[in-house]
Amino acid sequence: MTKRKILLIDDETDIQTVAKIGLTLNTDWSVITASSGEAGLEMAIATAPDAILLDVAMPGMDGLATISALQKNTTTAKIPVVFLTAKAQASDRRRLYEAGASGVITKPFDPITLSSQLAGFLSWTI
Amino acid sequence: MVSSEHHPANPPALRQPLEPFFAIAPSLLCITSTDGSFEQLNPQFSKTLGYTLPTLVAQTFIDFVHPDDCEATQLAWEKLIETGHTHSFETRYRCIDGGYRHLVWAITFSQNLIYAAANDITDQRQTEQTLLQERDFSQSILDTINNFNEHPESATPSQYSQQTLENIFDLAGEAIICIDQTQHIQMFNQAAEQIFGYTTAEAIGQHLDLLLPDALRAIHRKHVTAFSKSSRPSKRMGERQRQVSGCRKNGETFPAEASISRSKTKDGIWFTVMLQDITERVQAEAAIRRSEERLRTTTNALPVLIAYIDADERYRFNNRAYEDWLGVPYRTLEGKSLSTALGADVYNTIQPYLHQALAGQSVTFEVELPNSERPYRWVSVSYQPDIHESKVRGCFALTQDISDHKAADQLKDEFVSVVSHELRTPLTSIHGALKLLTTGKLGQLEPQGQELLEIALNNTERLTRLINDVLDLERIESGRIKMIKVRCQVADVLHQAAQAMTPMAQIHGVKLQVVPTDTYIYADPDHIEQTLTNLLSNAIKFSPHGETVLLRAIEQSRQVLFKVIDHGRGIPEDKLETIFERFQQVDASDTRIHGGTGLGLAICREIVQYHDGRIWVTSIHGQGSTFCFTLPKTSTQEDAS
Repeated sequence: MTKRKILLIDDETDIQTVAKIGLTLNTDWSVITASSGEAGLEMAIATAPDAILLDVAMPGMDGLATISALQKNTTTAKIPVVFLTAKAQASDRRRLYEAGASGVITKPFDPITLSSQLAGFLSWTI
Repeated sequence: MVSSEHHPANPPALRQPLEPFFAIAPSLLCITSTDGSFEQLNPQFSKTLGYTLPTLVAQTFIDFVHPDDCEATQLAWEKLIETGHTHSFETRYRCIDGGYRHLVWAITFSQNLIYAAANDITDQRQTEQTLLQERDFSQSILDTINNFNEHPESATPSQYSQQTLENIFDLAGEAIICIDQTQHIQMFNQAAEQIFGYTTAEAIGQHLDLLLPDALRAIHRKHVTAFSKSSRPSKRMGERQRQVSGCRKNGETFPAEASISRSKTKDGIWFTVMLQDITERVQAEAAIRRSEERLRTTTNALPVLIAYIDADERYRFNNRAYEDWLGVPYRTLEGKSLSTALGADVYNTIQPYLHQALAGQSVTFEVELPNSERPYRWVSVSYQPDIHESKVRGCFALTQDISDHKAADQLKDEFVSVVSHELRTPLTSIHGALKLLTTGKLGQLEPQGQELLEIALNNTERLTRLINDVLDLERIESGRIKMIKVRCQVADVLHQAAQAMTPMAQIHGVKLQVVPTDTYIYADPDHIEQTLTNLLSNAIKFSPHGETVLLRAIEQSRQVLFKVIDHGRGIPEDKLETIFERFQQVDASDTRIHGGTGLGLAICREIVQYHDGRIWVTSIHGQGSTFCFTLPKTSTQEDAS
C-alpha cells in the first residue's frame, strides 16, 4: 500500500505544526500543509491527496467556500474532507456535514489521537 | 286579540325593513296589546330601565308607572282606544334600582295593537327642578328686599317680611349686601359679617369702598354707576376674570365671586350684591395647578414617553418626550385619537395590546416602531389600566426606547463570542504541543521537567474547559443556543451519560450504577446529557475511591425526577443554594484541585430551567449529596404517537 497523503489547510502555522506532528506520530502518512483556502485548493488540484483536513474559520476563502470549490473541480471532487472547527455546536456540525464533510473534529483537538480520529471518519485502518 | 296568535318577537305590524330601526332607535319603543301586556320591546327599554327583557315581558305597561301617574296614564290609554287618535303624555317610569325616569310618551293605536314610543327626559326635568329652586331662592330674596324697600313708610317692615328676611339672610351661605344709589351699605347679612369681619352695625351706612381693596375702589364705583344706567336687571361682577376681590376688616384681600342686581325702591335704585368668598376654592385650584405643574415638570424631565389614554383611545396626557418622538408639540396631542397621532401602521401594531389594557389587563411588550428622527427604534411599552369602580377609565402608557440597550446586549454577546474564539486558537496550539511532548516520543525529559510539563498541560485543559463553559453559558442565556425538544427515552439518556463518564469513573476508582425508568421526556437529549455528565463528573470527583455513584430516574405523575447520588464529602447547608450560582464552589480550592470551572452547575440550572424543570440539591455534610432535577413527561397523546 502506498503511503497516505493528507493535505492540512489551516491559517495558523502553529496548529499546522502540532497537527502535522500528531498525524505522523503513529503513522507513516505524509502531511502537506497550506495556509489558506486558495493555496489549499491549488495544492489539492496539483497533488491529489487522499484526504483533506480543513479549518473552517479562515480569512479569505473559508472552509465552506473551499469545500465548495473542491467539489466543483473534477480532480478534487471525490477527495474526502474532514473539518477542524472551534465551533462545537450541534447546529454548526450539521451545517458542515450538509456541506459534504466526511467528519468534523473540534478544536482544541488531541494531537495524539488525531490520526485515529481521522482514520475513523474515513474507515481507514492504520 | 291578535297578539296571542303571534309570537311576541315578531308581530305582524312590524314590517321587516323597519326591524333594524327598532333595534337601534335611541328612544324606548314598544308594542302592547290593549290590556297593556308587552308584545315587543326594543333594547333601549332594558338599557334605560335596567330590567332584562323576560322581566319586562312578564308584566304590563301600567305596572311600571309611578302610582301618582297611574290615573292620568289610564285615562290617556282609554282615550286612545276609544278615539284611535295619537296621544302624548308624561309619566314617571320605575327602574330596577327603585328610582323613576321621566318619560314622555307618544302612543298610537292600530289593528288592536298599541304602539308606544318614549323619550327619557329625566336629566332635563332634574335640571329644571334645580333651576327652579335657585330661582325661587333668588326671587324670594329680591322680593323681600323689594317689599322692604318699597314699603318703608311703615317705619319697619311687616312682621311677616321681617321674619322671612331674617330667615333667608341667616340661611344664605353667601354674603348679601344692599347698597343705595350713593353706594352706601344699607343691609349686611350674617354671612357678610363672617366674610368681611365687620358687624352689621359697623357696616351699615358705610360706603361700599369699605369692602374693597384700595386699588379697585375707583374702577368699582364706575362699574356700579354704569350698571345703574344699563337695561340689564342683573349681572355677574368681574366678568372678564370671572372673579372680584374683597377686603376684610383686617386688611386682607380675598378672591370672591359676586353678582349684582338692581331694584327700584321708593328711595331710588338699590343694588343687591351677593358675594361668595372663594379663597379656599382658589387655593385648592392653585394647589391642583401646582401639583399638575410639578407632575408635568417631573414627567417632562424623564427620558421615557408617558401618556394617559382614555377609554375612547384618545390621549389625555403626554409628556415632553413625545415631542422628540413624534416631532410635534406634545401639548397638541391631547384629545387626539391614537390612530391619528401615531398613524395607521403603528396603531395597527399596538392595537391588540391597547385593547387588552382597556379590557383591564396590564400589558408589557417590545416592538420596533418608526421615530421622527431615526427610521426604526426598539421600544418597550407598558400599559397599566386605570380601573375605577370596576370600570376601565383608560390606561397609563409608558414607552421606553431600548434600542441602545438591545445594541449593547448584542455587542456584549458578540464580544464574549469573539474573545472566546480568539482565545481558543492559541490554546489549541499550546495544548497540542504540550500533549505531544508528554508522550515522550519526541525525547524524554527529566522527572522534574516531566512534572512541569504536566502542570502546563493540566492548566491548559482547565483554561479550555473554562472558555467552553463561558461560551456555553453565554449562548444559553442570550438564547442563541437552540435547544430542540423531542420525545426521548429516559433510559437512553441515562445510559449515554453514564457511558460518557465511565472513563473518568475508572480513573477515580468509582463505580457507576444506573437505575432507569421506562418512560419518555420531552427535552433536548444533548443538553440533558450535558446536565447529567456535569452532575456525574462532580459526583465522581468528590467520591472516595471504591464508592458508588448512583444515577436514577423516577417516574412521577407529570414529570420525571432525576437523581445523582454520591457518598462524597457533602455540601454545607449554607451553600446548598449558592452552588448553582456562577463561580460558587463549596471550597475555593476546588477549581485548582478538582479542575472544575465553577460554571458547571450554573449551566445545568440554565438547561433545566429552559425545559421548565427545577434543580436542587440535598446533602448531609460528610455523608454525601443528592442532586435532583425534574423534567416534564411527554403527554399521553405524544406517548401514543
